[in-house]
Amino acid sequence: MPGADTFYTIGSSHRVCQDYASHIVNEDEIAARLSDGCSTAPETDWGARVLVRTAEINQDRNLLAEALAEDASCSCKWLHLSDECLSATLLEAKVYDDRLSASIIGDGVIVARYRGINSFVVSVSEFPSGAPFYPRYLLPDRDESGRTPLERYVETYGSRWKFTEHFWDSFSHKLSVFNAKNCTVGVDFPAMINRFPRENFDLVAIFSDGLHSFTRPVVTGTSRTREPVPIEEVLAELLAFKTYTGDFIARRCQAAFKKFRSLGWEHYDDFSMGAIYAP
Amino acid sequence: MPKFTQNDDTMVQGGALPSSHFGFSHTRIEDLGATEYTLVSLNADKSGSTDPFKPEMEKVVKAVVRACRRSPRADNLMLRLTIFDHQFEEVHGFKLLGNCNEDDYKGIMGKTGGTTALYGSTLNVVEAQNSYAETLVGNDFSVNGIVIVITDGLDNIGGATPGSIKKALTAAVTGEKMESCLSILVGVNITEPSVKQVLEQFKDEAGFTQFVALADADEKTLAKLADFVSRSISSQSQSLGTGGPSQTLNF
Repeated sequence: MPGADTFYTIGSSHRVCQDYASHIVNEDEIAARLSDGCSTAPETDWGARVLVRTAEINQDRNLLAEALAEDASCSCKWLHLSDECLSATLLEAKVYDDRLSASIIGDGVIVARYRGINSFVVSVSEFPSGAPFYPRYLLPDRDESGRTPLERYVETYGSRWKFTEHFWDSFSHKLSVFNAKNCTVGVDFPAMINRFPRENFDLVAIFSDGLHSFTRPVVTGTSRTREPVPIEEVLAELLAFKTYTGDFIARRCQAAFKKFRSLGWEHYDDFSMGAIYAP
Repeated sequence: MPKFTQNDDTMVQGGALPSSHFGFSHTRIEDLGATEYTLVSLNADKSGSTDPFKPEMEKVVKAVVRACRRSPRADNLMLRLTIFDHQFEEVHGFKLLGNCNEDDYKGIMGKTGGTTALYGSTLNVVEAQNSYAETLVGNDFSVNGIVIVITDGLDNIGGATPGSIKKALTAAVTGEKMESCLSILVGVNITEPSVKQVLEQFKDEAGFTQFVALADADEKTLAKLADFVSRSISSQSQSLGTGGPSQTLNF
């Protein structure tokens, strides 16, 4: 029986968790979604929830990202929130009859597991400018000079972003790049979509960029510092599933985070994870 | 071997236990969907001396099942019900409360009679709970437990000892088994001071968290017992995730 589950938790440097994740398992849809609110924009914890909810209630309409952003903006008006709160990523993983699908607007990580073997495709979306592209930049409102949010984004941050696909198996530990795409905002957006045939893949997981924020202590005789934990080491724990019934992501994450704490690992950014599983 | 009178196709046999000849059964790991569970082990005396209040004991079990099913934590509770005289019987293994129907408990005390295998049955109960908890923890579940033993008399079978029970209760909360374990010994219809004294001694030597002595076994007292047991289960379940056991409740 296919399933979906999600988990999110606050990062050590945050006062409010701006990540949000939700999943649906019913006859019409099996999907996991998450959103990571920008920490420097106002009320993005709300924005992250509005985006995920908007995607959920429009799932059968297969909305284009622009229409989704507009729907979310309408909800924000009812809630007396500014569109700035929609400065948040949106990742989605969904089960179809013949494939598992994952899409991403903004930064984050998609992991797909090959059926029957412990090998994965790890896709990382990142923005060299440090300013990820968010759905709010797709809104049509123009400023006084007649520019759209998309045009203003490109002028300010440039149009480059990277989508890098790696092969990884948990025995070799290291990620090896097999496809690095240099993408252009406005051309490759609104959303990067990956499709994984069900005959070859049985699980797709999505992560916020909090996955990159894990650090661990390094203690020498004269210093006490922290170093980043490579994502493959974090993934090795997060993907070590024992069972797939019900809250399987929450169970795995709780057990993994318990181990992380015992090792002194911390994540300064909020972390969220969702997954779909189709045996 | 115990009779698995009320198990169904969601249940499987557990592994061997360290000291007990009896096995136990439990819900299949693959069928469990929550992140955490409280294991409830209810072990009730049905030796000959309990015959006068057998219907009330059955009501206690039914009331506990009813209260647990209505608990906000119902989806996170699994109940194992065992009864004993000189023999030990597993009415059902660790079963999700959603699969426990109150009507199924009609007549579960069966024919009362025989002597009291208090120590041996308690040892099985604790070891079975430890064993299943270890399996659950190994599969990413968070687990705590509560053991409730209800008796009206003293052990007169031998075999197991309070020391071996203490060892098992200690093992419950060390290593990678349970987050916490609460154990309650309930003496019902304890009219003889000497019986109360020996049960108090058993509580201390076996390491039970709490001993409750009831001077009678009338309907009112046993109804109060059912309420106490239900509240203790609920409280222990709510403490899961805090790292420690719940506070013991007053009867």
